Formats: sequence, structure tokens, C-alpha cells
Amino acid sequence: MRKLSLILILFVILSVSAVSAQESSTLIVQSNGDPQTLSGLYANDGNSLSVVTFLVEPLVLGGENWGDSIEPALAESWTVSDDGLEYTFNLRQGVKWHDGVEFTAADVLFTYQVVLLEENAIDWRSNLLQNGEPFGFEVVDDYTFKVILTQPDATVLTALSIPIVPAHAFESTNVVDAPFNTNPIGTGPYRFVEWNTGENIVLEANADYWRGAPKIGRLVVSFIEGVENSANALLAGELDFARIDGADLTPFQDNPDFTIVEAPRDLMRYVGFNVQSELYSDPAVRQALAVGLDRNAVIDAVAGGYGILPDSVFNRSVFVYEEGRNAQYAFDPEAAKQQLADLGWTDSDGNGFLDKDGQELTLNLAYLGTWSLMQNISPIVYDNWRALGVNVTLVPLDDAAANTEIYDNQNVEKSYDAFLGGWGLFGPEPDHYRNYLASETGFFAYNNADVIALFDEGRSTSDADARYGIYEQADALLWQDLPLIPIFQPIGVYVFRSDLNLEEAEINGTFLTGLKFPGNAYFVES
Amino acid sequence: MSSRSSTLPLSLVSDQHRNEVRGWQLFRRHRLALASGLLLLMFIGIAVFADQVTPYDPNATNTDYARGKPQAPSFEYALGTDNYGRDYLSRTISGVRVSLFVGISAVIFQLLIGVTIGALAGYFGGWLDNLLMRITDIFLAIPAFMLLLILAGILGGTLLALIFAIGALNWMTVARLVRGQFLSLREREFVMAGQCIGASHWRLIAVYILPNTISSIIVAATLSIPGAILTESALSFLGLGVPPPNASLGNMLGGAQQWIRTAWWMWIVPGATISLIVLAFNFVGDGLRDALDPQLR
Repeated sequence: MRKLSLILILFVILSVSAVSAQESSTLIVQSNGDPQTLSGLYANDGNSLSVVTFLVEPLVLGGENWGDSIEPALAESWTVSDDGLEYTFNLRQGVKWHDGVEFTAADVLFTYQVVLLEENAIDWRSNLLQNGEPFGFEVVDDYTFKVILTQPDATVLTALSIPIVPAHAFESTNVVDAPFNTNPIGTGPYRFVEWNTGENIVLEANADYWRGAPKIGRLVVSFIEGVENSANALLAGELDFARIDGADLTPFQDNPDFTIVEAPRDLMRYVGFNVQSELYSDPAVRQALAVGLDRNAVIDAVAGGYGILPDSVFNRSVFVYEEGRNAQYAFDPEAAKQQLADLGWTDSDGNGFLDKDGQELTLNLAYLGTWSLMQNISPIVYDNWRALGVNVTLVPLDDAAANTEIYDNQNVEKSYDAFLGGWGLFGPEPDHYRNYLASETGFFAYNNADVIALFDEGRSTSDADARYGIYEQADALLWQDLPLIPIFQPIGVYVFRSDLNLEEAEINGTFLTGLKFPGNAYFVES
Repeated sequence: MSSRSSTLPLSLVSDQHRNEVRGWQLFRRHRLALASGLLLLMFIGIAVFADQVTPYDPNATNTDYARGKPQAPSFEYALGTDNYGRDYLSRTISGVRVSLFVGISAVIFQLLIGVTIGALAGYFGGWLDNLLMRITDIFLAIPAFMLLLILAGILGGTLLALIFAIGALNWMTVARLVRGQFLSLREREFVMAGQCIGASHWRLIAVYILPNTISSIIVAATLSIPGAILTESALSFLGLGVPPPNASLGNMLGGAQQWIRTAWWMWIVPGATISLIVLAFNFVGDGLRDALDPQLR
């Protein structure tokens, strides 16, 4: 009897350990909070992209939010007609949606048609327009899809890089409030299981994934706000993988339990000017302020040194970027003061602030006050520019006010002189900056005919070398004109459990999740 | 107490004077309160002369010195610096100024509302009392901090908005206290005497009754300043307080969150300062209550 119970106990212990081994095959990653949507069509904010990127895929990688190079995904290959007007995509065969239905060209057609419907209000709509007219689409057979243009357009591949959604999920519903938006189906490495509001989203491996079934069975996107909290959660074992640049890294350095990997992120933090404002319409003033801003100090103070000092208004992932081509605006407060003095800005009334013709050099610096990064950047900009004699006022705005006053690209009238902003995930295509750099109603109200002409030319030129030359010119012009002062491009510091192998998953800062092929991650047996 | 029952307004003054002298003696016997009072005087002095006593401009960064990390106390920076290289002593001093200014102003504001409502309700009684007290109950029933968060969000982060928000949501206790005192005082002989010689309602409230409630109001006010200071700190901690880059003890604590493991001065300095101010006000309030409040004597 005794022996039997001992065996039983052993058995129980063994089975328990077997269960725990299975459980350890869960990867817990971090996101800041509940996504606004789980539909790949609408996801264009950090929280949504942090989940959606695991679930869906575009035809081709390399568009906005989809990495730094053009690579085949759901389209296996493509050919371009000699006149540059017809793109024929050969779709991958045997790809299954998460519900088992087969992926075909009909889904691709459906996706682009849905995006084009204005009533659906999908951000990507403008991607599929050419001079205001939509691209032509044609389903040749189940695995061949054709895009027909009216004139050559070099940005087609990245423009088409939009997550494909299954047509059959929308048979009896409209797109705007489809059940799909909270219970999505994709072709990606992980499929949606459940959403615990305010807590996490649980995904499980898509065993039929065309790149091969993910080795980790479950993926949990846990909602933890802020890098410090993420760092604490990593230490407490509540997260397996997180990006924590800006947090105190001391506990992870020289710690065998954790691995640290750095990768530049396809993001930019910047001070944007209202180019139409009275005081800051002169590029020379903007240049002086750039010279008077200690951007390295910002990198040290807010990013713990994990940032790249930019020398272009474009991010590094843009194909035309080349380090050192533009002259750097190196920090030199004395030179900045001199430049302002040369422009006639002096402190004639002795109140500590510069003035010219009886007008004081005031600057309203707006930013999203709930964004801690912007909050952290603001004291340095404030102090640096005050030291030059600019009467800076910080204007932190709440989310609603920021949406109407900063993140508004409909109006030319802006309420700020300058604002702190961040953007990115534009991928390799410089044309993705068009709405900001070549549009009068963009954030900077920047309306430079030369820049707009270059952007238009760049779009219609298909020859790669010629394109490079065009955007090189635009880059030099923008760096000279400086509608925005790029402060830094962050370097992601990805920290994860040392028994997690991410080599084949490719840590890549141009994806919001930091992982290019999340399905290839696995735990090393120890 | 009983000796007062036959007092008339004229002799009341000297009676009050005797009370004051005796109150001061009692307060002095309360050692802790006395020490706290001195400490508070020091803090108030620092706050008033903040511009003169801060060694550095509290918003001036020294990023070369800090290199992105808070720097420990040194000869140059007595309380160290934050991660921007801003002198922590200067920031603490300007934080003390903000805290005291907001705390005291908010309490004055809440006294204005509370005393007015309490006096009207207690003096006139009847339907007015009923109405005002139900309003008070409604305010008491609202979870004040939640409403404060919303109010601070709507009004934006200026000092005046903070003072208004804190004051407008914390006057209820004072109103009830004053009403209770008025209820009992208005039945007293000296008030009746006043009515007999034809004193107006306004005069009866302001000259006859109110002075007799002053001591309890002072005690209540002193004891609610710490609450107001803590509320301000909590709001600043959450980023809804004083506008950046200005320092307040609360937003300094907020900024210290990510350095808790590595830079003790970042959180100990503002934390200890808030605690000291709050404790000091509490002890002074206790001392004042022992000294002034007739009910407890």
C-alpha cells in the first residue's frame, strides 16, 4: 500500500512538472494598454499595432508599420510590366486563415475595395489613389492579382503594404463596426484567443502558418504602462520580453538571467515649428534654435543615452538616408545667440528676453502632456532656449486638446509656435512623409513649392537612381529649411529572458513589436 | 463654561482676551506643537524668500554634469541633482513654496465658502438650513479625489485652478462645524440682548456670533492645510498639478519614480519634506485645539 501511494505521489509530481513545462511555453510581451481596434485595417496606433502585427500580414513587407525593406509576404513574387503600369502579384498558395478557410485573391481584392470606400474612414485610403482616382484591381485567378495604374508610380509596393483581411468575415456586416474588429482573423503566426480588458490579450500559435508553426504555443500581450513598470515586471517574471529604453537598466546589466539587445527604432522625436507663424517663418531663426538645442542632452536625459543624433528630417530606414551627407547643427549656444543677434534679435529692454522692433521673441511650445516622453523632453528645450533669450512657455495639452490642436492636418491655422512630436514606422519609402513635409495643412503648415515638386517628381519616377537623386535633393532642402528640428531617433533596448532565443525572430526596431518574425522565437531547454 | 452664561457682549471682549492669554500658555506647554510651529515658521520663511535663498535657478539644467542620471549630493549641489542636472535643493525650496502657497490659499478659499454656508445655515435655520446642509451632504457624498482629477483636467494645470479645485471640494467639514456652533450660540443671552437693542442679522452674525467661533475655525483650518498640501502633491504626482517645468514636491516625487532603486535623494528629499510639513501642521493644529477649543479643555 505504501509503495503504491509513493508511486502515486511520484506520478502526481511528474504530471505536475509536465504541465509546468507546457505552461512555460508562453511568451509574455508588453503593450501600453488596451488597443483601440484589433482590425488590421484600422490599427495605426501603438497599442493596436502591438497586437495586430502578430495576427495579420500584407502582400508585401516594407510599407508603413511593416519593416524597413520590401520583401515578399502573402505575395510570393511579383512582376511589373515594361510601361510600369501593371503589377502582377503571384500569391502564396495553401495559406489558411485562422478559421481554416483558404486565402485567395478574392480576399486581396476585398481588402483594397474596403479601404477605398470613403465611408469606412480607413487611413490607408490615400495609399490607393493616384491623382484622386483609385488604382485598378483585377483578380486573374485565385492566386494571381493585378494592380493597374494610370501612370507609373514608384511607391506602389509600399502603398499596397496594407494588412489583408478575409472577405468571408464581412459577409453579413459592414466594416466600421464589424465583430471582426474585436475578434479578428488573420494569416499571421498567432491567432486571437481572448481579450481581458485592461489586463491582456491572449494569442495562440497558428499551427498552419506558412513560415512554419510557431515554436511557442501561447503569446500574451500584457498591458503595462511605462518603461519603469515594464522593467519591474521583467524583474518580477511577469514579462518575458519588453522594450525598456529610458528605464534604469542597472538591474539587467551583468545579469545572466537577462539578455539586452539594441536596435534603432524607425521613429523620430522632434520639435516641429508652425512655419506660418509670424516669428518662426524665417528658416534662419529655426536654424539658430537648432544650434541652440542640446539634443545630446535630451538623448542622455530622456533616453538614457539610447538615441541617435539625426542629420536628416528622414529616419534612417528611408532608402535615401546616408549618414554625414548633411552638415550637423552642432550644439553651440554662443553661436546660436550670435545668429539671433545677426537677425536683429537683441535684448534691448534688458528683461532677459530677446526682442526686435518692440516685439518679444516668445514661443508657445505645445505637447501632449500625458505622453511622459514629451513631458521629459520639455524641460531641456525650455531651459536651452530660455538661455538664448527666447521666452518659452510650455503648453501641455490633454489628449483631446492635442488631437484638435496638434495632430490636426486639416487646417492651416495652428495655435502653437512649435510643438514636441514623435512619428515614425514610415519604412523605407520617403513618400510616406508627404503628408507632413509636402502639405500646407500638415503639422508644420509647411508649404514649400520646391519640396512639393520634388515629392511629386519622386513619386512618378520609377528609375531607382533618378529617385535617389530627387529625394537626396529634397533631403538637403528640408535640412536647410528645417520645418522641424529632429531631436533624436530612439534606439530600442530590448530586454528578455536569457532562455528565450530570438535570433531567428530577428529583433528589428522598425516593427513596433520589435520582432520581425515573432513565430520563430523559442525557449531554450535548460 | 458656566461662567459665561451670563456674559454680555461688553465683558465678552475681556473674557476673550483672558482666553487668548491662557491659550498661548497652554500652547506653549505643548512642546511638540511649539517645535512644529517653529519649523513651520522656518518653512514659511524659506517659501517667502525662495528667490533669495535658492542657490540655483530651479529650472536651469546642467546636462553635462548629470549626463542623464541623477547626481548624488555633493559640495556643489547640497541635495544632489535630478536627471537633468537641476539643483535639487533649489527645486525643493521652490516646491515648498508651491505646496505652502497652494495649501494655505486653498484652505482660505474653503474657509470663505464653508464659514459663509455654515453661518447662514446655522443662524437662519429652517428651510435655508435644510437646503444648505443637503447641498453640503451632496458634496460630502461625492468622492472628492475623483472629481478633483476631472476638475484639474478641465481647468488645466495652473496654480489658481488647483487652489480653486481643492478649495471648492473641501469646505464641507468647516461648514458643518460652523453651523453647529452657530446653532448653539444663537440661543445665547448675549445674542438675544443684541436682538433686543435692534442689531441687524448681519451684525449679529459678524460681530456677535462669528468671533466666538474663531478658535474652532482656526483649529479646523490648521488641520485641513495638510490635507490640501497632500492633495496638491497627489495631483502634481499624477501630472495635473503645477505646470512644468516648475517644481512642486508632488511632481518631484513623480519624477523620482524611475530612480527609486538607484537615487535615494530623488524621493527621500521631497517625500521627507512633504511629511515634515504635514506633520508640523498636524502638531500645531493639535496644540491649537488643546489650547483654544473650549470643548476639550
